[in-house]
Amino acid sequence: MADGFAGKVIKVDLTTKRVDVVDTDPYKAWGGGHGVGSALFWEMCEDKTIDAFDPGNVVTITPGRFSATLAPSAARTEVQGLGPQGYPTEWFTRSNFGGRWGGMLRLAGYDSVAVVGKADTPVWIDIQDGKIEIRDASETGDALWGLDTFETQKRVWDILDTEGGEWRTGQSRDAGRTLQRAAILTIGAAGESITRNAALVHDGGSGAGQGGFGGVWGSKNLKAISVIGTGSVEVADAAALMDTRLWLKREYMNDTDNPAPPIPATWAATLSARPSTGGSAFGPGRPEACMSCHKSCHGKRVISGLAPGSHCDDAWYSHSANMYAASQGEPPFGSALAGEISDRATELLQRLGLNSYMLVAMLTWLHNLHEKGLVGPGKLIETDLFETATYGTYEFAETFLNRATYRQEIGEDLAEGPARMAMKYGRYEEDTATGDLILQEWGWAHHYDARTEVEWGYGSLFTSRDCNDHDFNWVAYWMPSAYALYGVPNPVSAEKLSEIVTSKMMPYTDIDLDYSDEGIYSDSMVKLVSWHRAYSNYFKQSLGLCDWAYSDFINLGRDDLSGATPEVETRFVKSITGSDESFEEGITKGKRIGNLDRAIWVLQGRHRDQEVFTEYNYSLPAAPGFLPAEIPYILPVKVDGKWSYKDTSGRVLDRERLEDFKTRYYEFEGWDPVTGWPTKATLEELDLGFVADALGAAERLGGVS
Amino acid sequence: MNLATPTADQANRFLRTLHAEDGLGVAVLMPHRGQRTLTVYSLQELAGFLQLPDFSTVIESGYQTSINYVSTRNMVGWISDVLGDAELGEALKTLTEDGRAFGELVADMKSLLNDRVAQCLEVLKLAATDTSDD
Repeated sequence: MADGFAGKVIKVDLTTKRVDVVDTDPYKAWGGGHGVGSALFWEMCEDKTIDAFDPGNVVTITPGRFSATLAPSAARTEVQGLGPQGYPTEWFTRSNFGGRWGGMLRLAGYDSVAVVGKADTPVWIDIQDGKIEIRDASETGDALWGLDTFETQKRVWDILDTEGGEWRTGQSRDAGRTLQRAAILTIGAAGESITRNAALVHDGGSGAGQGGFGGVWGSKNLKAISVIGTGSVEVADAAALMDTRLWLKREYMNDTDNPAPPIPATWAATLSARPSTGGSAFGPGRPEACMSCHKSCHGKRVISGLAPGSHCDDAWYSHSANMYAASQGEPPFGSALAGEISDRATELLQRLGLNSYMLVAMLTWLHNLHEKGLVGPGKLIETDLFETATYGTYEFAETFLNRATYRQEIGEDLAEGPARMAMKYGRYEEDTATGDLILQEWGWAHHYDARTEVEWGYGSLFTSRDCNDHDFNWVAYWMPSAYALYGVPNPVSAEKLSEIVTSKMMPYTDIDLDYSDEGIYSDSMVKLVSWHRAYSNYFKQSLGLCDWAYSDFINLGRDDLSGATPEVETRFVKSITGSDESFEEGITKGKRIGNLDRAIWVLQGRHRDQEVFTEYNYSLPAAPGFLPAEIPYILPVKVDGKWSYKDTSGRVLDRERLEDFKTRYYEFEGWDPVTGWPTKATLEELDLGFVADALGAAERLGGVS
Repeated sequence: MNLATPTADQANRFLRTLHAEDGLGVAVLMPHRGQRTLTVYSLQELAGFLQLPDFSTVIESGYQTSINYVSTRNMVGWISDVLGDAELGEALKTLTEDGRAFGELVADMKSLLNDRVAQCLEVLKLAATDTSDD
């Protein structure tokens, strides 16, 4: 029976130039995406303690199981492997991108591509349905090496058009016919330079930035993977799948025929049909969406035409540009000057293939130290970066990005990422204490605040990266904070919010959505964090549901205010995979994936003692980087039995209470509270006996003294 | 709110651009994209920074919106103690302690700041004219 899998996995050894196509069957229990990627890494990476740039590192690119089906907002693809961005250890980690690459791979008949080894000269991988070829990307071949990410994609399209014709008419709908161009995932010069800040870029702006996988590809001499798929993904029950879509339309405002429903749907329901504008901060934009998604989060700028498809990356330099424009007498925000600077800077960032979020952290840090007189000619950090061009101008951004990419001048340091660079100059401890260097855990840049929105912080600390899961962030932080900042009554009371959200967190009970000073260390928060990790591991990262649409907790269009989770997930699972799997069973699968990941980290050397935040989280009672300003962080709290929304900014974490929280969290997860390592019983209960054996052999099994 | 006309010396002082650690920390709050911190170094920059989409726009914009935020308490302290404009600081303090939410205050705060900037520029313009007459 059709089960939503495409059926095959591609394994590529770049050292031997061998390509194996194997059945997906052995990996199906992992669900897809993240789960399958972790399983492939476990199997193929023989020594998990190697460096990220070692040829033995395995990079997996695995679409979610719902990709290329009719499931809406389900086009995410996982990238996994040892990530050079991690600090102090290059942890096994993950990134994730949207667009149409994952769907294309599935339409070509594959559920994942796993790459190991290192080619002796630059190569690219050309996948056209059943044909898979490792091709020469060097100057004497297809001449992709040295091109930027946009040029690379255009060059591949030209090659494929020349070889296969611009129009692929094929024989039938499922045999060679498509009007689509190849979907290409590629690195730019930052990846070729093997930097720790390099991203994988697809189309205009879909990219896997975090983790530094662009540098890993560069170290393997892998320039790009292109895929054209002309088949289809068979689902178990197409009628049930369509019924579910119509049910969402009818009950949850997921009405793509009406993108402007009567109530503010984006705000009110993450799964609503309202597009998230798709514009640019500096002017009108034309929406661009991922495959199978109506939300159109990406934006194509209709005026400048620059950096098509960027969204989050827009923010990397726009604020600096705005401040510069203001200093020139322009309107301070949204001026044409600032827009031009920001759009050009973002375009260059995308072309070079850089991870914007880490560059922001690094640039903010350098700017802070420059203001303190520690950066400049003859200073501790010797560079003329701030003398060469004015901060906030395009020329400054260009200089900074080029140096970070091509290792020019200070670029050798920039290429190492902020944590390692700060260590080199003896600044890490002090600057992560003052907040000048905003790294929250594992060398990852502060995104949302571990001191206030603890599920974000804990979820990052117990894994390998800034978790970037917005489930609670949207309903518990952003919505209440915005309502409060505008003095508008929140239509969902704190108590009602907690009631609705926690009612969806099966199989756990007795949970409160309580971010009070007590609640953040409570057993309730233990369960919430555990559920959040498992939900994300499976439903979002393995099935491919987009974090910006799922989970769907709150829907203001309904009398009960309740969103479509968990029913929507189980309906899609049933109709696409044919399984009667319950939501609770999905959570268990998420825990299984999480334990496999944790076992890899344990083999890499993870220990409880390492799972601590940087100093500012314990001692600096404000948002980092701009003391003494305090960012409002309004969250639901329950104090003396009474619910309210309260501004929790200014809070710091209590080291002892956090350690106690860790002990209870480890015990809840079935990990040894002394080491943080999974126990044999836990692993066996999750059908991970083979993992227990490996940890036992390495003398890293929890509960063994 | 009427502010006393500053002297030319005061106007120069109030409009000066501060250095390094004397700046005022502000923040741009963004849904899904984190919180971005910035520093403003002058009254004009602060006035420019203080702008906010109305609530309905924030709702309509979904993920693309952002909220420019400054702690009003810190802003008052910075203007009074660092920039040295005690009168403006006091006026802002009065304004911001009337119980309204931040989003309801921004337009009035911005207006007050712009008034002060305009006053100072006018004073300096007159002073420059007087100097040229000499």
